[in-house]
Amino acid sequence: MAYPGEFELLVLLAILRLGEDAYGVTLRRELEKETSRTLSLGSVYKTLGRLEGKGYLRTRIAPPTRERGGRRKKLYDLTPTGLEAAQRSVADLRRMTHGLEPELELP
Amino acid sequence: MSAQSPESSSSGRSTSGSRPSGCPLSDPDSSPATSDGDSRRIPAPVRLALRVLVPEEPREFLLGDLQESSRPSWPREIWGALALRLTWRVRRGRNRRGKSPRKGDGMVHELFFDLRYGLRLMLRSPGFTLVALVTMALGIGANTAIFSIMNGVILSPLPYPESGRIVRLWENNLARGWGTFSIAPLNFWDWQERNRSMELMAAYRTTTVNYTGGDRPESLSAYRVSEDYLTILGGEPIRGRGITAEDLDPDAEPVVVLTYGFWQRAFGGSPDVLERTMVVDGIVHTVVGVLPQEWHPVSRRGTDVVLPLTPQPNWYLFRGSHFLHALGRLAPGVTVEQAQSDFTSIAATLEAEYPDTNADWGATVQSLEDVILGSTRPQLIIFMASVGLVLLIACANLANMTLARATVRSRELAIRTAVGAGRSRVVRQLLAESILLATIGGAVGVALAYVALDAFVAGWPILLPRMQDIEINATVLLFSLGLSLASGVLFGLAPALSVAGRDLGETLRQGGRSLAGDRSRRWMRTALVSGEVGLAVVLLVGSGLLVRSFAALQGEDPGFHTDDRLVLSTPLPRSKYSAPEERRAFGDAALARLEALPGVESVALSSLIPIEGSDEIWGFWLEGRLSSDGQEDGSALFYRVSPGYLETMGIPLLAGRSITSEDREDGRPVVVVSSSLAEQHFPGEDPVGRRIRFGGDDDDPPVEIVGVVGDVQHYVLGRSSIPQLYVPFAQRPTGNVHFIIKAAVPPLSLVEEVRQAIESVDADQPLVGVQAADAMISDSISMPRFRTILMSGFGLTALLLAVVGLYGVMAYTVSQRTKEIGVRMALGATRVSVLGLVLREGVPLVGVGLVLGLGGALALSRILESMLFGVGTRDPGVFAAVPVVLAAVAVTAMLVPARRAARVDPVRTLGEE
Repeated sequence: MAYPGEFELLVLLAILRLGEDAYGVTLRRELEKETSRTLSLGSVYKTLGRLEGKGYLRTRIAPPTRERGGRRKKLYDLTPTGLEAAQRSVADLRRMTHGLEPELELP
Repeated sequence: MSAQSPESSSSGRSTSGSRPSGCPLSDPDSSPATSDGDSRRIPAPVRLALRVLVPEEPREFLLGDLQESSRPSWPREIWGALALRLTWRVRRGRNRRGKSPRKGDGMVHELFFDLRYGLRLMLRSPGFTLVALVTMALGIGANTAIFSIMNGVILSPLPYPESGRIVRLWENNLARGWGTFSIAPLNFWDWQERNRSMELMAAYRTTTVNYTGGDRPESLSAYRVSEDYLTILGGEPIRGRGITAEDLDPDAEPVVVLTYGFWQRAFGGSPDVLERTMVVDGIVHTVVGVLPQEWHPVSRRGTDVVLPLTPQPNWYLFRGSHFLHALGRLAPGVTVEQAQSDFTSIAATLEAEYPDTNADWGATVQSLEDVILGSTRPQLIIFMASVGLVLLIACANLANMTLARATVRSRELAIRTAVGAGRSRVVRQLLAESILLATIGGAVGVALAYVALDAFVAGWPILLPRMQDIEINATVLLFSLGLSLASGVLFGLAPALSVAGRDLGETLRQGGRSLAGDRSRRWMRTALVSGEVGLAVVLLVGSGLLVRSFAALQGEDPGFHTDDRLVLSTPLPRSKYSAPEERRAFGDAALARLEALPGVESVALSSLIPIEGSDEIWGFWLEGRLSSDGQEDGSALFYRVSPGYLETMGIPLLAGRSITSEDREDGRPVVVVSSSLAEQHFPGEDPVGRRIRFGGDDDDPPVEIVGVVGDVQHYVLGRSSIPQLYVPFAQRPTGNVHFIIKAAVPPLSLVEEVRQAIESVDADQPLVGVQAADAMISDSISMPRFRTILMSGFGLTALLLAVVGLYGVMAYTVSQRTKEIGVRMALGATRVSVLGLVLREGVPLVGVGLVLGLGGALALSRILESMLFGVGTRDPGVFAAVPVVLAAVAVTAMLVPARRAARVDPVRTLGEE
């Protein structure tokens, strides 16, 4: 069972946070806001593609809108495998950080 | 999120770029937008770039997202798209079996096959492969090296902002043959005021200053500049400021701007340097700025510090002393020619206004590029052309070898054709092999060039302008790659076509062997060899001319002796040695200390040293012939020398007497003139006892000529010099102090004692330009030496390649004709006649090549004219020697296979089949 990489995990979590509205623009906004990185859409799509390849994501196509210049959008959601992978990674992370809060200056 | 059909990602549905209108679930309210909406926010070039970069599958969604995003950063998006393209490999179990091979896949596959096959062939015949690789590596390597020099020095733009608009300004005096001359300050200021073609103008002087405060007194190279100098040359300080107009005020506080290198060296790159001071020529200067690392002035040697060019009171008095350099930046849209005519008319007006000083003085405007690269460009172009010819010969050689191999392989190729390979397929395969060889050879060549260039730049650091810009960069690599591919095609195509063009049935019947090779192929091989010989002749004639010219240059008599002599200088700063008495006293004291050193045979002081680089020219008037228009009668190099200078230098006294210790400051003003001056101004007379004046009025006392000495070559060996005048240093002391020491021991072993002797007179005085006079002369002809070595290298390589090619053809012919020779010998042919048989075949090849080459050389040698000294472009010696040498070497090369032919044993040959 493969584990998601660090940024892949962040993307998975961002998708979960966004719920029904996870697609390129919102994902980037969420990731930039919460992780204070600067991202290009290309790099977001790069990771989405990889996650899709691992079978973590399923997608839906939303109809075109005027503000997108008449282009459709692709909405992302986690597959059960994806959810499980995210759960496992976060659980591992929690266990590993447990007791390290003062050292890592976590709340 | 209302009406969406969940699209399973594993369904393999193609979403490739289909327009949304085709989507069955499209929302009627958000019907597809027009293409206006499309282009409203994503700029067209970005859209194009993204279309190309973004993989098909996410393209629509990504573009849509971009459209929706607020103020994206396009460069970052494009970069991200590139990353996406490079890593995009989603695998979702898509059914690949149905996928039809893309167009071109076959070709690519074939190419890989050919390359692999080529590689195997290369390994199977290591001898041929090694020779071919070495040939290519040397050929491409030499071309790469010369091209990177060319690219850095003359092709890439000068490292100054809008360098195309920067010009160098000069005065000229065409009546005296001076095309470019320094500028008188008053003229410069008038130009500045009256011109309409320059946006900015700046005056400057190069000088050396003494810096004290470091470990030991040091002489720094300095530029004194007016306020716009740094602006024109893009010297935007990284710290502090540059030189401003206020700094040029004589009452302003002294300031200095440091170059990056000097800042690092003297201040350790300290950030608080702007609050520091430094002592320059005995005066405390405030450091006000530091220049960027990459900035350097227009000169090969660079500089340490930049100082304000403060006008001196006497600059305003006399229009006749010319000593400023100047740069300008053309106003937008103004050409050099327009600026030239503007300045010419200003100079003409000044000539009319100040006839006494400005008669015959004009103005010259030269583009900076011409100034810097003027004489370098043609030389580099000749190097490039020559090294290109060498590569051409190398390719011809390889073509010959490949042709020979193709004959051996003709059976293999015929079989390939027979089983269905098309003609173009066979050609492609052969080409792939030769290109593979050329590219691998080229890669090795680039590595060689890299090493060679490093050594070149380290070993000859100021041979060419802009040497710091020489590097192997992307442009150079692209050039080398192109050259490798072209070479591969060049030496592979002819053999490939010739093989593919043959009648395969014939080949198979002949068992891959023919009596004397296929006729057309034979013709091609002989043509190639003749061409090689011809090109080699051209290169050999060129290098022969340069060698003769260099020998003449080395044999040139400079007019003085250089053996066992040490030269050095220690410039006296004006601030500390303002009075003539002080300079005189320094000179006397230093001479006394130096004379007392063990190992010093004699020592003298002079304001100038021939060949060393600096000069001082004075006009003079002959007494009793004061010309009516006030123009001086002549001008000459003005040497101010101590007694014993002429003797120490070994300059022969031809008449009268030398400068002696009797010629003190209060004595009668005297001068010693060189023989060319005597001949020019006193033809058929005895100049000794005649008097001249320096200065057109009667205030300047007349000076008596007391002696005549031999001429020296002051500037460059082999170029006619200006006549010389020698006046006693005691009578006209200057701060330009050079010493020349004739040593009884190896001259350079004296340096430390000399330094101590000078420091014991004035501890702040640095030693500058210490060198043996021999080395000074030898350095002065380093460019002729370099080009002679380079071109000889090319010439000899060409000779070697041509001879190897010739040998190859002859050896091959003999091996092909062994049977025939055996028959002939069985029928009674003698060894001598067999030898003659082979030679008869080779001699015409060489003869044709020689004739072609000599013709080419006659036509081309004129381009070397400016580089030749003491030898004509059609020097009969060279034109006779080259064919003789080449013919001799060629016959030797032919004799080896010819002798082998003569040793053929007829019995064995005939019994073979």
